[in-house]
Amino acid sequence: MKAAILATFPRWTNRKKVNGSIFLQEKLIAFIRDELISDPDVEITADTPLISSGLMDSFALVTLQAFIEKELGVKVPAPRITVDSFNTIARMISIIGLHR
Amino acid sequence: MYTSLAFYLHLAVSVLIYWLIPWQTWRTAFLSLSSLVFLLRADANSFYLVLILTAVTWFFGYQIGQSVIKKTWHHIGVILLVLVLVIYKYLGWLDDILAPLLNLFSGFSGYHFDKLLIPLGLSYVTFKYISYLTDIYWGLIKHGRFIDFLCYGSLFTIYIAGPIERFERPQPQIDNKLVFESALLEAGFQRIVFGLFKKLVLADWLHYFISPIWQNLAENSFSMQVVGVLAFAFNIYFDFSGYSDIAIGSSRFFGLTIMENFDNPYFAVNISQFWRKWHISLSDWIRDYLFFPLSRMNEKMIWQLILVPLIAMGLCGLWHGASWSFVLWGLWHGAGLSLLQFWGRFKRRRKEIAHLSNQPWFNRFAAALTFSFVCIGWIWFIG
Repeated sequence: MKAAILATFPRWTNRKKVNGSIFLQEKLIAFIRDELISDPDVEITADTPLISSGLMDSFALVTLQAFIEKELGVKVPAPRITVDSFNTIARMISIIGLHR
Repeated sequence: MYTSLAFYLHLAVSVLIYWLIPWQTWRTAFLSLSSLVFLLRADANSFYLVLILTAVTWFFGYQIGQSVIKKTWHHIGVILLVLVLVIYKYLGWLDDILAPLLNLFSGFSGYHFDKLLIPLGLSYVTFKYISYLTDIYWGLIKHGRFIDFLCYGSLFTIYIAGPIERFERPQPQIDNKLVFESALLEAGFQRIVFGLFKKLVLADWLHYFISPIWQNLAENSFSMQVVGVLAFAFNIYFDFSGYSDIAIGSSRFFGLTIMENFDNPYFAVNISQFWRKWHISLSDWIRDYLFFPLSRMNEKMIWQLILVPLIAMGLCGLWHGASWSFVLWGLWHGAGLSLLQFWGRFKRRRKEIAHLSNQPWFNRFAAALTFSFVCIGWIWFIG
């Protein structure tokens, strides 16, 4: 029944996904800004390079893994948390989405 | 080994037959057979070890994938692989410590551990197989076909000196039908020539001229010691990255793309970045299977910032050889990683320092400092 309703009104599911993604993005930005980056005054967007720009060091990835697991309940295995795959918030969200 | 005529003859014949075979599975089977023949000729112990380890590891991988007690199968499999490495590589070295302990028990008085002949490529193959079992356990890969796994484990182009590839990278390449292109031979040939130049011209010539200094490093003047250590830094880079080039180029002949192992490491601006550019396949392995799991075991600062880097890098040093000098080299790098983490925390508290460290001149200074740190570490390697 639920599937039929969602199929009839696809915008509902899209809105839920978009809202979920924005919520996740805000949560990640807040955590990274408050806990991990070297200069908390820098404005972070979904596409700000974090590690390659030197804002965040790669040790922070361990802390991020623990945060994602505790706060979001998603276990992302270490080989998927690389400097490249976690360089921006947008990439983090797509990796987290794959392991939900 | 990778500079011998026998290797290139074996490579040429194998490449020719490989591309004449029309079916991919048969090509994979042939490449496995060719690799095993190469190993048998190079070191019979290694040949038998690879056959046994491959069969046992694949069985454990299958069980981890199918069974409900994945954790048990994974832990037993990893412990077995570590035991094989310890027995061959470290028991003889630890005899001075272990024998007196064993002598405390009456049944073992006078017992000694002999130093065994280490099978060729043992350290590489055990690390590859540990990553295979752990990746299945973490749900990242399936156990795959036995023939693919045998080809991955024994592949003679990367067997002796790496890179420590993960199963998930070559497996889809082995599985899909590869199409022959002359560009493959061209790319492979260029890479091999580049590797041979690094190894035979740059590394070996440095070795020839500087080895008298290395042999008696402590007896030379300070300036000659500095020259000796600097020369060693470039010698080991050209030597090892040259081998990696040859391994990558040779694999390209079979249509396989192997991961890069070096990325201008001496331009790194901190020790963490150095390890993302030096022996990348090993440092990735240490990071994924030691650093992350160890860090997650305890949230105390002393554990995460000091003990984990020291343990992970100490073991990384030990992997290079059964000697205290390698352990000290690893601990030196562990201490560097630990200091870097404290520096990161300090920067977060002091905004002016954070702004200063973003200046271009600071990066140049940091690169020089990192290079000096790495060079000091090489002193234990020379020893």
